[in-house]
Amino acid sequence: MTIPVQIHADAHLASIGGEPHVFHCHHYNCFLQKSIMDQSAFIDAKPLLTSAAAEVTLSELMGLGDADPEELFRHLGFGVLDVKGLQAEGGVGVVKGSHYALGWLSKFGQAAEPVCFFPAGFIEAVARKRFGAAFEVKEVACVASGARECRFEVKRGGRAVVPPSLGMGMRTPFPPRPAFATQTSVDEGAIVTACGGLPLGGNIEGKIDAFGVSLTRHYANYYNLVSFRFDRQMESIAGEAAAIAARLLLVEAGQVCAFNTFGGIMESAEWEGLIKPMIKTTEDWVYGMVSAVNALGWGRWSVAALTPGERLELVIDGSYESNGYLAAFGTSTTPRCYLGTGGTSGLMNLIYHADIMSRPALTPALYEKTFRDGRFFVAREVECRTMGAKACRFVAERM
Amino acid sequence: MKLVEQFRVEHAAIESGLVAAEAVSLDPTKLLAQLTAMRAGVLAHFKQKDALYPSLSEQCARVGDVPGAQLTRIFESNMKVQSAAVQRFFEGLEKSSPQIVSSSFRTVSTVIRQRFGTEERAVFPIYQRSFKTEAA
Repeated sequence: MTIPVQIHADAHLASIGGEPHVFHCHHYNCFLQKSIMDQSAFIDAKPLLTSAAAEVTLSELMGLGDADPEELFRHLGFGVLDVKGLQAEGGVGVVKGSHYALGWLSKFGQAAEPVCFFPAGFIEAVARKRFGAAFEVKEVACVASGARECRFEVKRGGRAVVPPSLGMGMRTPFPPRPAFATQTSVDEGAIVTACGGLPLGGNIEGKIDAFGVSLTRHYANYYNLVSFRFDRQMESIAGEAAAIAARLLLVEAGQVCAFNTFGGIMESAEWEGLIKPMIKTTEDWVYGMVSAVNALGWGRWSVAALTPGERLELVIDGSYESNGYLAAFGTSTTPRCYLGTGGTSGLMNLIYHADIMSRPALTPALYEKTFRDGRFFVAREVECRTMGAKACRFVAERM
Repeated sequence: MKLVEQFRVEHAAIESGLVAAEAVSLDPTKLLAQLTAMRAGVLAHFKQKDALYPSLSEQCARVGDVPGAQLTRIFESNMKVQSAAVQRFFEGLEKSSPQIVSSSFRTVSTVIRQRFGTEERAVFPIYQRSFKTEAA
């Protein structure tokens, strides 16, 4: 059975079995996970990561009916899953070529303990759906910590009920696009259509290698649940200072994502062949990247104002972060689009500060230089749907 | 405790300076003069703050405030980047074109205000807590 990906072209979203999916790379996935795990002095990070995975996966498996979970796992780019060893009383699950384990190794080196929390939650959901009972899953051997394959022990137990997923979240009609959004020679429609046609499903090894990174077609609500619960747990345990610190870490994760994924896209063969021929000015690089983002399932991004080399105002309609936050928690007193904020500064820094046009190597040293040295850009979310705005609005300005 | 009180007073003084600079931001000569007048105070303040974070982290560790030490390290890494950029801006006032001073000032001003807000809401309470524990 082919995995049925539904494209919601008008909303710039994609879903499978009623769950929204977004493309994100191993840099973001591993950095975000590490940022949360590093705060284990405050929160119990492992259950936070695994529970969210079980919730979104179970919802999707129920929505898909008789879909093969091994095929789904592979299609999404998480590696090759073997759940044939699952039985009504428990058993084992195995992942070969785990996205999280390999990503962790390439980014941070060998881990002291297993790191595949998302796959553990995925396997938990498979067991719960298959046997209609509660299970808990623990990774007992991990490639990231030196094992030959990632192995998961599955036992009866754990929470009796898994909370319902946020699904497509709280969506509202989009206001008209800002006039500035189309003041370019870049043909966004053509780019979105072409990107939609790229073979971005996992290969036989469960990998989506594209744009120089290892991609996943991940669960938008996984990011939402882990990010917002992290933020809230930090606040409930250690007060406002911890919540502010959590938000700084989440925005930093967004910058890491932008640097690697946007940078990878702008240095890719696909960019060279499809987008670069439309580009006439440096500013068209901004429009080109925003157009490519509009094919990632992150909502509708628009350039609302752009002062060359100095300032960008970006609007996101229906950001997956605000859709998820509103559905899970209702309104907020602070902006909640952390990925959007990091993405906005990342975009401007790559184009006007890191000179991405000269195709530099996207190394950790360049990351440091780009976001720390000279007149770099800083971004902030000035309006957020979670605070009652119609759309989420970001400003990136140069220091 | 006196240090936090001193910082609060300096925050207010710098904030007034920013308001005064914003009032003349359309006149490059007056803006430069205002920023130059503020420079010594801002640089001294940020240098002292740069030293605060590592020592606060150590102080938290000394009194067994593990969460405080951990949070301070997160803030330190974020503040260090901002601090360096703010100091570069003020140190390079004469070398930069009036246009760059004017456009960067807007961002610098926003960053300084956000930082002060974060410090007053998040960092100073950690300092006060660990100071009280150590004193006891």
